[in-house]
Amino acid sequence: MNSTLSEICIACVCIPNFPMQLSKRDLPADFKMPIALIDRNDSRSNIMSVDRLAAKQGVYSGMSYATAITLCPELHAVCTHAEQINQVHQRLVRHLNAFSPAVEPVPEIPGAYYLDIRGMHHLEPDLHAWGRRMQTILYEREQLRSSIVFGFTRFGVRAAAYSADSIIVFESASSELQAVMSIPLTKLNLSVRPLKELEKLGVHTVGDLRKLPEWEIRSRFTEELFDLVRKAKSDDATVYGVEPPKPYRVRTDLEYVESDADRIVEIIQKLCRPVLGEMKKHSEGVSKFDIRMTKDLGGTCREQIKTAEPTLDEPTLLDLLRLRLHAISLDDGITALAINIIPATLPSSQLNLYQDFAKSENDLLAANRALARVRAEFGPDRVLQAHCLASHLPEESFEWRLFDQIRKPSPAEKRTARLIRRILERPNRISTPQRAKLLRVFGPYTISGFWWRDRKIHQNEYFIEDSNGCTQWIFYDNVKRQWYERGLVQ
Amino acid sequence: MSAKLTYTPLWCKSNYSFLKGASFPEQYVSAAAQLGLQSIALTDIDGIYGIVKAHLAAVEHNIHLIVGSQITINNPGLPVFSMVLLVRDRVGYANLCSLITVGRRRCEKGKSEVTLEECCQHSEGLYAVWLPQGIKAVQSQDSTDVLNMMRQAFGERLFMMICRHRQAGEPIVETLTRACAQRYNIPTVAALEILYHDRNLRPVQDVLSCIRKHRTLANCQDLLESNACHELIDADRFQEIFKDDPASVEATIEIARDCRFRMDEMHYIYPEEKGPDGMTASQRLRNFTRRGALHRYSGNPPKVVSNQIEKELELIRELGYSSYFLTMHRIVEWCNRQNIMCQGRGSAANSAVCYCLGITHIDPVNMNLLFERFMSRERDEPPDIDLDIEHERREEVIQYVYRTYGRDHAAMVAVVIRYRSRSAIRDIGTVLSLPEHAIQRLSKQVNSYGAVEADDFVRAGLDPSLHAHRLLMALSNAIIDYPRHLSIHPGGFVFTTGPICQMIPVENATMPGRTVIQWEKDDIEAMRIFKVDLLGLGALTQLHRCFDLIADHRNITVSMNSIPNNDVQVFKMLCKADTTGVFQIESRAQMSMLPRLKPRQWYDLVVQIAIVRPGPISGGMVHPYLRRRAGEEPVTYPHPCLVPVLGKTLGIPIFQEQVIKLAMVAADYQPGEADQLRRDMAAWRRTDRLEQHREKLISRMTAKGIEQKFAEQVFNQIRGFGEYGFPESHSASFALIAYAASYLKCHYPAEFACSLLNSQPMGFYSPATIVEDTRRHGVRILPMDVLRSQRDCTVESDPESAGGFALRIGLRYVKGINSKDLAALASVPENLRSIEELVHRTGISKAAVQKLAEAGAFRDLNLNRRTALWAALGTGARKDLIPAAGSAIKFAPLSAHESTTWDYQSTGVSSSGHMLRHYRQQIQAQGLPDAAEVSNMPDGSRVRYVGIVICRQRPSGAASVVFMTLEDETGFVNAVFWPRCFERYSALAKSLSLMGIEGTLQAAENVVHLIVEHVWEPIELVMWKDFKSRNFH
Repeated sequence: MNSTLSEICIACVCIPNFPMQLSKRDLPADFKMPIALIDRNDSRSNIMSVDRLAAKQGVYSGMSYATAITLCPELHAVCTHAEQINQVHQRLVRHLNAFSPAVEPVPEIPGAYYLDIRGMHHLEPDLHAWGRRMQTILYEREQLRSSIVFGFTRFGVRAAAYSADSIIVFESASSELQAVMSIPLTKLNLSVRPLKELEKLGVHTVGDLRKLPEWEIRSRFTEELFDLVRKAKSDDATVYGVEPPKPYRVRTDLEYVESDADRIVEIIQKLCRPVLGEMKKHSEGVSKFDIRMTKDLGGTCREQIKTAEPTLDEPTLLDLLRLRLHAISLDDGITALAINIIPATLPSSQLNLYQDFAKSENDLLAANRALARVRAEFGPDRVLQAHCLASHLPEESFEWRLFDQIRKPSPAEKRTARLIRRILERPNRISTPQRAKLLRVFGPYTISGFWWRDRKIHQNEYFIEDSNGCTQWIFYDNVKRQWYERGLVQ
Repeated sequence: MSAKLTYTPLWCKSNYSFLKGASFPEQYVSAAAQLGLQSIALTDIDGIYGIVKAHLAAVEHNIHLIVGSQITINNPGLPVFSMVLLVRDRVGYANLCSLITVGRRRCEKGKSEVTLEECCQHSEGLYAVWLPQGIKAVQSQDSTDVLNMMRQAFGERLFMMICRHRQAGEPIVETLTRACAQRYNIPTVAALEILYHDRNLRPVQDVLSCIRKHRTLANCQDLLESNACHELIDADRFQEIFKDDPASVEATIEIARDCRFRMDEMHYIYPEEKGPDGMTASQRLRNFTRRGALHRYSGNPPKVVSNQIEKELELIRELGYSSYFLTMHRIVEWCNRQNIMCQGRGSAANSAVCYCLGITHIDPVNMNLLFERFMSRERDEPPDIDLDIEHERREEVIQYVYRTYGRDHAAMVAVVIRYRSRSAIRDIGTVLSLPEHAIQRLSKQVNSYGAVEADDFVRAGLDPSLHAHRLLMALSNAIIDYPRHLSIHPGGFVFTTGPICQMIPVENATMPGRTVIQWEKDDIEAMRIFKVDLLGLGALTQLHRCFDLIADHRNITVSMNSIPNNDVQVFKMLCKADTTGVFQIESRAQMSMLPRLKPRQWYDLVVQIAIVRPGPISGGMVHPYLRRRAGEEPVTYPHPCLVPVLGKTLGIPIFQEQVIKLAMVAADYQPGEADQLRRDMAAWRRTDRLEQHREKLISRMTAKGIEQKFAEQVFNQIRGFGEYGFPESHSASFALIAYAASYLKCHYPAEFACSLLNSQPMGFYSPATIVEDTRRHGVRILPMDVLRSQRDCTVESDPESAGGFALRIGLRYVKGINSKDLAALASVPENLRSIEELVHRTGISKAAVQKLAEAGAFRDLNLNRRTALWAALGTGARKDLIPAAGSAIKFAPLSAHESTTWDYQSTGVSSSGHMLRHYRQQIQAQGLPDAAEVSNMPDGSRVRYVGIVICRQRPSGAASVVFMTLEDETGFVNAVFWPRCFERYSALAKSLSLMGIEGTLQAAENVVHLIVEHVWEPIELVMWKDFKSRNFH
């Protein structure tokens, strides 16, 4: 084993041009047009990076897209979304966790990660081979090319990884420093403005930058640059891992097969009680139970129960558990329980476990608790609310949205009583209405257009009142040449 | 037999409601005629923008047009709503225009609001129709006051509208409306809100609604109408819809019957220019003209001049145009008093009266110019005088006009900005939610003036068969020429005797202090309203500045009148095409013509300016003229009768009026026919009316003994002129300025360049090219410096420079420095010691100091640019962050080529010389010549050359040939790219600033062109990207 290898303590894995790689990955393999990554999908977008074909046509990053397509009319613009980047980021962290327990995203470079590799030389003496394995995994699972640098300081490995296109293992801290000093500032993902100003001053490399007094930099440039200089002069090699809020975990193997919901609730209560005490110390409450139950006949079932708000109130929690477990079939019998209790910071009012919540009839919290119970009993997606939409088509004039919380209403105006139209989920085909049998007919009201859609619409709507005083809502579809019932008016 | 049932559509909105209606006003009128309707109302929103067009169509189709408008009411305490006002008589028309003006003038551009009280105040002669949407307004509070007030003001001319568009909410509104009408005893009238004349335009209407509200189709359902029941329909269908309410239908006919006003009734009278002496306008004009003639002709006007003046004055008096001439005279006199240079251009130069009044500076009698081109009894059109004014002082003149005539009597003419293919693609693409980058890519591919075609999609890498793309193409083409918004004419003014707002509504322009009428130039002409054009011309500003510089530094008074007529040196310079920066004759095409035309006198410049135009070029007149001028071809005339017409131009028609005269003489065109020919030439692009003259012209000419071949050629020339031809008078006016500019460039190069740089933006070349040209003429270029430079460029005495003066770059050329900082720099003390002191004493911003440092403006403080920049970055810093002691930081000084690069980047010009000067050795080492060497190479030489592209052009008539001008420190090289070559190297040809080209030289008559066959990027020399060329004029 190389003696210096044992001193190497940090690695940086970098997906060069991460957003561009992501975008290209989604294009067909035979896509041959020049590509530019733009910062936003509107007319004032600027180019963030370009592929080789685009660069060959004179397009460069920083150029406005409008200018770029003058040069290169066939330029294909791609724009990545934060959500997409975040999803891949989550997966990359998981892949890298297989190589190191501490993985930290480099804050200022998307697609770059520090890995704590202290002690890894015992497991993997050949860092080149180790790096290649990492590259293979990232490519096979995510189709992303990566560069990896093993070294001694956070700044050193990060600077080298961002500007490298392969695997680098620095043999000593001095060799790392020497290499870093010659790295151009353009390779550090700095903002354009300070970069340009430094360039004007003849400051082109990390080495040039380190020669400038830190405080002079701070007074002239951005905090970002000042921070960079400090980091460039620092020998910090710590890797700070990132973790989501840690769930409290409890589990038990039952000595017998249990199929009674109330008894399972009692078991859960016993299991969770110490945890709730622990949570109280940290001012945390339960925001969700994630319960995995092992069935006697094999397999597991998973139930998630969300509280109305983070709480430690045992009766409330038990009530929700009971409602959920009663709503599902436990006939197969349960042999083991594993519960993840997801914590969240407790509202100050919740610290008192025995508050009297029933202050008034219109207690919003009580209402939300009731809805939580409904969700617990019938499923998390069973509480919905209708929202009005602007559309001439009745079936498109509203939509159902998951109802999260009741909020205090603020009516804008007092409304007079109106007729209520009830709409069928799907219009019913009906025979041609007999005018003679009708008391009154209102209509037709024509809805037509939607010419931009694949299917044009032309409907004549009527409200027909029969001799019993019932008002039916019907329409004639001029495209299908058919009568339909749409609903009722009450 | 029962009488044919009919009705009048009373609520029609055209596309002159700006992104509301989907049909042109003319389309409504013509559709109404086809549907058998006898009358129709046009009620655009808060305006009568399209009424003249509708009126002309109504005359053509013999339809009764009711003038109206949908007025936006914003009354305190009521929701905003609209009301339709219809004009009953002339008083009503004046009231409608005034009311619209009140609403428009109080709001920002594009909006209008009036109160009900104001409506009532303007009620005389108007019908008011309360729209269904306004029913809420009288429901929301006690409506008694409101409706009583309206009843009192409008009497029996107040109606409530019943609308039926088969929309679900309408029955409730109708019930409420009827109840209200009954309660207040207001009659109802039936109507549909007409938004298009044909229901196929419904998609267009939908997208226009989206564009208006900046929404996409996906989220605009609340904006769109629920069905297509907004088309213009015939009487039977209308009666069917309102069959239960014949009285409301009858009301439409009654209203139409009572609305007797026709736009023809609007008699325009130009405001009388009254003098203090009680003389009539024509007497005063005669006096001014006589006085001017004595001045122009040194106290003794020739008989022929006097006769011409008399003839003109008599015609002016007869047609009642005296006041118009007096207005122009008043404006010119005021400009003279204010020392603002101005000069009439265009056909006014054909008038001896204009010459004597000082409006124009060309002697039309001496030049034998055709007065009838300007004014004629037969044509009976108002004269149109265009006045060029120093562009930087034009606003003073505009405000003088407002002051003198009052905003009640003078306003500027509007320009309706219409959709063209690119703007249509952008707006429709956005409405269809297409990706922005796809829209941009496509918009770059389309021809601005043509339709959008499937090939454009293919070239943009888009599939034209996709549903969304098909919609984009169809809708974009559908809205081409639709009004987009109202803008302001470059300088057109109208004057009225009475308040202008009683004739045409007036509204605010975007520019502060400007008011604009709702009609554009064509409407003004159609309504026979006089227009005065006050146009800005940069060349006049430049000449004025140059005269001032010469006076200040040399104590010599030079003016337009004192410049010698036939300066040999000037014409030598012109023959060498040494005209960079000279008005009108500096373009690549003009420069190529000068050595061939070899101007020897002022009139040659008149020809030179007119001949390099699409008309003469496409008419094949250039080469015959040049051959005849060079004596290589005899001067012949196809018929002796044409000698007086074409004699001045060696038998070749060059000027527009020659073509007209030619038709009159050779084809016996009567004045009326000739005038029609002139109009058809002007409208050549839009119509095929010119073709109707073909047979007539050719047959009449051949009948007169002119060869068929020549007759055909004449017709082709006429067609060419239709595209673009110059009148002789216009060319002569420009030639005066061009000659004066040439004289100044020749004898006062430093002052000429200085004035040109201080008048930017203007002309054809960038400041960098002007500076380089000045340097090549032996003038030293002095660097910018805070201690020596002023805001503008200046000249400094310098015996080493040509003409004895050097040029110092002004601080205005520092890019990104604002006017406030520039003004502060005027107070820089001479003993300034440091940048910190500069900031302390002038208070200029850190950004400005930084820009000055980059521009090298701290030379005299002994600071190199990097050190100065470091100091500049440190100004305004928190001192508590900086340790007190610190060693000075040393930055590497800039190399020579870096200095030049920084010059260009920070100021756009360089005092240290052309960029390629620094690379000449390397270029020479590769065996490449400079521009001066190229210009001396023989015809057919094989040339490889490297230069900076300063201009790219693809003239419309040049069959896709691209012309580029490349520059180095020794001069220009004109490069010609045939389409195949340009296509092959398009990426390089479009993008490179520093370009290598290889090809064959074409050299003849001192005109040198390099026909490019190969393009390359001189990678070893590439060092900057910001050097901008002027592309594709």
